Amino acid sequence: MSQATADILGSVGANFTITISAATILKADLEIGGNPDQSLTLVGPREVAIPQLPKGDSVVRLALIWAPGDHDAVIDVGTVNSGTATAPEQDTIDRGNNPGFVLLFGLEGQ
Amino acid sequence: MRKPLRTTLLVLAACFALSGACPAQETQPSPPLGSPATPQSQNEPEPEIDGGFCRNDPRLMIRAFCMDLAMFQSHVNSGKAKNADEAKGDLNKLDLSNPNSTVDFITAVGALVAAKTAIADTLRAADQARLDQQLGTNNKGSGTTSLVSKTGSAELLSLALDTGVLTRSVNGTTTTLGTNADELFRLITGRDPDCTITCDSLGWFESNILGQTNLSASFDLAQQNTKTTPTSGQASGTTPAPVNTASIPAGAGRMSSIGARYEVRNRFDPRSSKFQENWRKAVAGNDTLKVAAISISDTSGIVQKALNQAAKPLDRDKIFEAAHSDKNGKALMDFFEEYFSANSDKAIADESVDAAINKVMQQRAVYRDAWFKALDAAVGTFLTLDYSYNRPLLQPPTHDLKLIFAYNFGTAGMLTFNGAASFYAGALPAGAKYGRLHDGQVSGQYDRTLSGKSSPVQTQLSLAGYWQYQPNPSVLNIPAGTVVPGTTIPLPNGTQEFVGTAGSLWVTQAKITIKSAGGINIPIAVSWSNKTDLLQGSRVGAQVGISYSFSSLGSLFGISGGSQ
Repeated sequence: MSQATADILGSVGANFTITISAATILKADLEIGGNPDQSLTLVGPREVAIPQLPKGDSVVRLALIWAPGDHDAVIDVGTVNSGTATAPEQDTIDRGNNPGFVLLFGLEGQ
Repeated sequence: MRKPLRTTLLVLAACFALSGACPAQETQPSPPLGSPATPQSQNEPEPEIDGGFCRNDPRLMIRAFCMDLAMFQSHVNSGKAKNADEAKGDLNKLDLSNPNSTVDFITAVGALVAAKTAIADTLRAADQARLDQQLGTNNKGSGTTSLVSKTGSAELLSLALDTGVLTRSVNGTTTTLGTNADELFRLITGRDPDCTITCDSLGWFESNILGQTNLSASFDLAQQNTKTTPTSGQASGTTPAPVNTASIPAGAGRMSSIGARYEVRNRFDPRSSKFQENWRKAVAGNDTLKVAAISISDTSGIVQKALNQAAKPLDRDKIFEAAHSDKNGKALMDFFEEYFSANSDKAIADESVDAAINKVMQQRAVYRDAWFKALDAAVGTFLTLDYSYNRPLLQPPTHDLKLIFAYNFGTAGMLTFNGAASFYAGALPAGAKYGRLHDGQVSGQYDRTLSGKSSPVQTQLSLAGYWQYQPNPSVLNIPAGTVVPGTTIPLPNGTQEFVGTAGSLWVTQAKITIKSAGGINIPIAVSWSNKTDLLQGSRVGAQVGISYSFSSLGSLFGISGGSQ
């Protein structure tokens, strides 16, 4: 993984939320290489809070339930409370996939 | 009635013969399961990719990643992706060092490493508490334990053995084989057995016909199937008239009925706020679904970390070259197979990963089962239509049409109502003193699980009442060769006699069903009736049976699933 393959780029330490356009999030965990998973707070059925964006690669793993009629879920940034966070492209989670993954990349000096 | 059935069968046959040739599989996106055909919504990013070049590939990893490969090839072919960087999203799903490949990776290797029997056992355990399934034959069988027909049927395949009669006079033993048409289709064609919202590969036909259709056949084991053959002369003794033909046994067991049932769901639009509210409530009330979804996610995380660490990153430029060099996708599939094979073994060499994949496969089966229950709860089943062709012993065959309605009170149990009519099949004999209608029926049943749902062996109590009205007594076919009593004069072939009485037939039944987590059900019942179809006078009877549900048989056959 790298900055080039990430779904969301942001400044290290940024506090923001991630949104998805379909499915219902039941549980969200932040995976940071070499560390135990960190449970994340759900802000809504399709929104999860990132309290502090780690440096470099990290992954948000979402336990999802898909409803009939759902399309692929578009990943986006919701509210940015501190620092910066953007979704450079409209990356998606394929409909029906569980878990869904959101790839994060924390940049220093932003 | 015949023409639509024949048309349906022709379409089904075409789909079997020409996989990928059904109209709904073309580029037009198909609606989600159970939804009406609707135009593509404005916010849908692009039409679905068909995946025709890889869907039936014999390589498991190609089938598991087929939609991702097809999407990538399509973007290369159309020029939407002019280089590897522009195909970032597609390639993330094919790159085993990227988390986005995890779901399909588990699907690809799950069919090989997962304990198939464990999957089936897990699913059967999840089905144990269901009150709506009918696995045996209907109340017209000579061996039956079901006075009232239920709305549900086997998940995939079921086998039931019942003995004891309810409305009939001739006691026998019946074995019944039941199946769901869609599950059977997926088993035969190897299509994704774990799908939920992606179960729409045949579009409208699958969503509205196959998915809701169940088929069954019952065989009377106590009766012999016979065949008439010409005789070649008298061997001994004397007869007043020559015997030109004789019935010989052609096999043990005689088909006593075949049936089809169709579950009519309430119409719904998945985009309507009413359905979405119902769906939210159904999910909120379905702990099995939520637990399974979270378990799949947590356990997939174990696989993902091991896979991402063990696998080398995909050479994105080379895979782009492969896709660019061959628009038909063969070069892409071959490249991906080589990459996958070189990297997957390292990941699954770890025993904990192996165990995690096993668990995910089991939980996917449970999730799918629970997902469809949530859908049923959100949509609501309007009713079930049941048709059966019955061949009672020494009586004219009948067409039986039945409407079944059930209301589930949750922990308080389930009420099921039947309304049915039975009609004589075929042409009525000349001079028949009876009409086409054999009888009309109304019945109801209350079911409730007695033991706790966490118990390994559950018991279910059922109390049922049945009323049948016959305008004429039952018709008995007199077998060929029967003589007029007190004489040696043979009755002509095709003679029929009225037996029993016209009017009301009442039956009540109390039943206990012992249900094991292994999918075995043992119904034990006692019944009382004011008469039977051929005999007058009340009758107290007992019925007993045993049935087995072959849930997740697709997994037992090693068919790999895809996304959910």
